Amino acid sequence: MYEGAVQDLIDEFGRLPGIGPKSAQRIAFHVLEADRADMDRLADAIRAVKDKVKFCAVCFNVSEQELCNICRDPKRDETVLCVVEESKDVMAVERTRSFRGRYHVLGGSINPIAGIGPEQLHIRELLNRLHDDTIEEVIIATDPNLEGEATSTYLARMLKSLGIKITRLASGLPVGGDLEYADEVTLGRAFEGRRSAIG
Amino acid sequence: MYISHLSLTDFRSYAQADLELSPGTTVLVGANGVGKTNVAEAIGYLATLSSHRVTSDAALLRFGTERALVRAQVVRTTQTTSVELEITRGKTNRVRINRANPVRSREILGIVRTVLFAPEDLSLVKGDPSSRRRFLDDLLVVLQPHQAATRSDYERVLRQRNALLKSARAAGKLTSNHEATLDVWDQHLAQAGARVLRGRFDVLSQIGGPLAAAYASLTDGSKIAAAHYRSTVVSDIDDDGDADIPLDGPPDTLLEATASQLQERILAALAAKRQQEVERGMTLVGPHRDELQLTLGGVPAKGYASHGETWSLALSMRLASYQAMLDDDPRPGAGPILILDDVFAELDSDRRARLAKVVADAEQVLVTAAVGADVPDSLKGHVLRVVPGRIEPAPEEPGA
Ligand SMILES: Nc1ncnc2c1ncn2[C@@H]1O[C@H](COP(=O)(O)OP(=O)(O)OP(=O)(O)O)[C@@H](O)[C@H]1O
Ligand SMILES: [Mg+2]
Ligand SMILES: [Zn+2]
Repeated sequence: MYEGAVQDLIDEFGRLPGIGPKSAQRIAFHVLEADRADMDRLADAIRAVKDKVKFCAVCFNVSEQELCNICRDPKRDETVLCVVEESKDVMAVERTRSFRGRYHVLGGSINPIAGIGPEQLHIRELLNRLHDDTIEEVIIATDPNLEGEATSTYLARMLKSLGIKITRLASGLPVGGDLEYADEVTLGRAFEGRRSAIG
Repeated sequence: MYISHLSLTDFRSYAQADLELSPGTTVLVGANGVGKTNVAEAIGYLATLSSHRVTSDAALLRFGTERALVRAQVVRTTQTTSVELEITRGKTNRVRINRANPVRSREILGIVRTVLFAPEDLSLVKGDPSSRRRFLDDLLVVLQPHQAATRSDYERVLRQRNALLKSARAAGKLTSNHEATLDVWDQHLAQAGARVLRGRFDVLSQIGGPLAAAYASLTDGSKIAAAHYRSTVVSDIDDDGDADIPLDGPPDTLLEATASQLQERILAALAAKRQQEVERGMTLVGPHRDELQLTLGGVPAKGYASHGETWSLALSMRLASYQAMLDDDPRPGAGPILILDDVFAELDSDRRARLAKVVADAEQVLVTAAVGADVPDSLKGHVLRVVPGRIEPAPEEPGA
């Protein structure tokens, strides 16, 4: 155990995703030894992101305004909706340039071990968006791993009765991984080859 | 097939050991605790990516080291393959095949085939159902390496579903949200479970005959050995694996079912048990609760067979998997390597001679023994002496 402030910093880093105790310690000492100005910039960036960036009121993508640029863009096709787990997945799909519709960010996937059920995800908001008949197709683009598949199954069952076309990305994505790790070409192909998620 | 060269670096008790091997029998002789089983374990690990003694890789790394290497030259029919498996503490293991770039260790499956006989095999007969399920699942991966993912997929679904049941139990009731989510996990469990079951049944059909034949060849043949799959999908089985269906009941049609039929059966069983599962907060139906019941002359082996019978049956299970591998790839020079770790000491002279006779045809046999005299003369072959940390050729007249 280190003294007060250093240990506090190690503990904070240790709570971040993907950072174990050893890395937390290494980063904390890096901060301690680094240039004051550099670390001020880091602190400012963290503060700015918490002050300015919120989630889009419609799709829950990260946004600096009430609505994100995609929801505000009149040129986007409002009849197709792509459902993803996280904002970073929106970026991944955008990079493929094969999708011109809008998004809905769930905020995760169904994962009982982590205590995440459908109630913890933005599923009710998704249903609300589907109430009028603007949206004609919902593309489920959850991660190609077990939790993503389960979420996809759940959504397909929920949306079945709405009479909307529900599709799932084609297989061929690296199984067990995250959507964001798929390269543009593979992800683009998965969009082209999407198939019905019902049945 | 045979291994022509084996090299261990920081594996168990060996800092570095190099071993030239040839087809035929090699006997490793040395006092208790010198490191004979460690060699057997290393070769077994190349074949299955798991140890027959421990479930965690940590014990395989030599004390105080972070990384172990197991290297081997494997000759199968006319083809030589070099493999280099790296076991690293806290990281995923990797393998280099024919000096190519390292890839995930799973790629090695199918290159080395072994059948390992060890004193631990008694648990195949006397132990929990889990040892017999593992026997089937391990053999399935040998025969169909792509099935390695099948079992881990199933286990992941199972963990998620159990977590959900546990939270439903904690909530004291099944909310409609729980119900809807449970339906989803049921579907995934049934899908993955059906693949596990189909794989096990395929294996079972391949070892049924060989099991009876092996038992007959190790004994006087007066009792017939058989294996019956008891599934929680069709009947109630308690935590010890005891089924409520009589042994002489009608043959189960489950074994012939297709994967999609099995999926339906699992779904139906889950539906029937849902209330009970929520009460106990765990999944009660599925391949993880099934039992492979072994019988001798129509009587359950577990709890009834004598010590000698238990040994003969355990050896027969291994011999049956040897036969299944031979049938799977009958080309000359493609059969598995047999490893007999310390088994002769456990057998009487009659069973020793019979076992020696059955294994004599294998292309490569590795035998370990603390006392050289325990190994039947017909298997003496080439003798190596193991001393702590080292393996060397034995002086002319070994042990005897
Ligand atoms: N990770 C490890 N690092 C160093 N030494 C180890 C490690 N694991 C086991 N050993 C040592 O290896 C020895 C056991 O080796 P092994 O099980 O191969 O013995 P054996 O020759 O088969 O003996 P027996 O005849 O009793 O079966 C023990 O002395 C143990 O301390
Ligand atoms: Mg031993
Ligand atoms: Zn938006």
